[in-house]
Amino acid sequence: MVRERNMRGRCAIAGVGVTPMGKIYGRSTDDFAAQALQLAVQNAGIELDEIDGLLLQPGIDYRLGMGFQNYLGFKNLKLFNTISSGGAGAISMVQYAALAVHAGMADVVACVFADAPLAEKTSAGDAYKVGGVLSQPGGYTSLLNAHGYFGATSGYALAARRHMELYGTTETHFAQVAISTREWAVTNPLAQQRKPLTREEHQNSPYVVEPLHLFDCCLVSNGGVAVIVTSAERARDMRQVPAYILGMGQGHFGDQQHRGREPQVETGLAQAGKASFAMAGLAPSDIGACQLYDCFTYTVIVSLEDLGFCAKGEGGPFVEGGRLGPGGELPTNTGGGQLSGYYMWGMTPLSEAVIQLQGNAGERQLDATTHLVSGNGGVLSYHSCLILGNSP
Amino acid sequence: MTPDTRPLPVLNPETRRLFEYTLRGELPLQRCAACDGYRFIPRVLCDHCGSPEWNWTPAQGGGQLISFARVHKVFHPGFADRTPYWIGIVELDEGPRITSALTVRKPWEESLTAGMRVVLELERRTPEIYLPRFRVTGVEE
Repeated sequence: MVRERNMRGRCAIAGVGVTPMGKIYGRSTDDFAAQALQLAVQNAGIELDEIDGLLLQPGIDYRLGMGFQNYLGFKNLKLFNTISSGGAGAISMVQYAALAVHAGMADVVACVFADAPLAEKTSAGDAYKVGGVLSQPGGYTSLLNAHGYFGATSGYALAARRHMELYGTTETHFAQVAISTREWAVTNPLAQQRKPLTREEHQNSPYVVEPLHLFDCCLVSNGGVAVIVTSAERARDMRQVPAYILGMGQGHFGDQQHRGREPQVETGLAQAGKASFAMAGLAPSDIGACQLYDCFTYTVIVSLEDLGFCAKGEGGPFVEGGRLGPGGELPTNTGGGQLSGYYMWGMTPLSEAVIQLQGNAGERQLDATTHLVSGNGGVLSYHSCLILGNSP
Repeated sequence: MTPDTRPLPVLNPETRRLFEYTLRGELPLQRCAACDGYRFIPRVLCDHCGSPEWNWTPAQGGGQLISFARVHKVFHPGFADRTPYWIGIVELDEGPRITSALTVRKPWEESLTAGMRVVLELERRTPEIYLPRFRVTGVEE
């Protein structure tokens, strides 16, 4: 029997669990992770001991790790790893889970993320201490902090400005992304920020690293998210409408900054998206809604371009007029994203796509039958993409 | 005068070599012996052709501005008295792009654009550590 290489529709996400999110203190990262997994198992209508694969990704607190297997008492896992590629990791976990299920290595794989960086009496910005995000050999990364470049916001500000210099993108375009995303958050009971955002509020919010204002930057959250990946057949026996995995891809162009390369403006998401569309046999016009990694507003704009929803450089004008918001042509980040919903790295867009496809999105429920999900790690360094649909 | 509590770079064999050069007023680049490509971040293999042979070559010191950003938030107390300040990405005339602090003087602060010329300058942080950074000279190509 010839086994087809194309995996479109062979695997599905059968369950999702999202813990309460935000300024929740006094709970450990393992506690959030365990609750997320319990919620996912309940959502799928299965028992914990049906899980035979476990993939984990820690957040900025670096706490969720190999000890979690024992924390939950799993005694017979056939698949186990921690995954590390920053914001690309959640989707990557799902991809590796699907590959393993398809190869017969495991049947029911849980992918778990949890992070608890927030502490009482510490601001979100101070809690989220990241050193140099670029990965460079030796001590050269430490030059960045010596210069006053700290963390992702510095890197994304430079990337956003490059895009503005090359294509005329403006702060107003970034504001529109923040405004549209907040409109969705208003409709999501799980979201941390549910008050509508005006252009004036966005522009008046302080610059963090210019051109990025406070509302161009994502939230910080304590919480956990888990998803359950299994075969399409198994998923159909479980409680929810499966979120079938139609397309998968990754793209990593590296951080090398050199004449002739613009990896922060022409990102690896182009490769991740291309591979996903090829596997799914779909094009951007087939996508009903987008759940895009939105650590910063700029990320959404460059992602839309690299995925092919608009031409390179046209991302700013593309988001004008609320195209991404409720009632718009391309609903994007329909749970409020990371900007206004909750910041669980790649699990944020992934969880919203699954909740939507299961038909559990309540007031914000879309009819969309296909969702594209993107993940970004580093400073536009690592990229992953999934296309999910509610039929195979 | 308030003491300088800004973070210093980590000293390891790579940065020690960098600071031997900057102490002499130079910025060291690796020049690939096979394809003549230059790189700033030291690597054992050329990221263009894969050759393991290179020679250390000082940069000429000129370049152009690729991007710029002004840091308003105080991420580290050492920068509290110096905020806001500029960081940028510059492209050396030899090709490599470098992220560093930027010196931007008065006429240019509200009118920076990509393409403006920059020159290497060295900032004394300790008697042994001169940090390479760039100053905008304001002439556009």
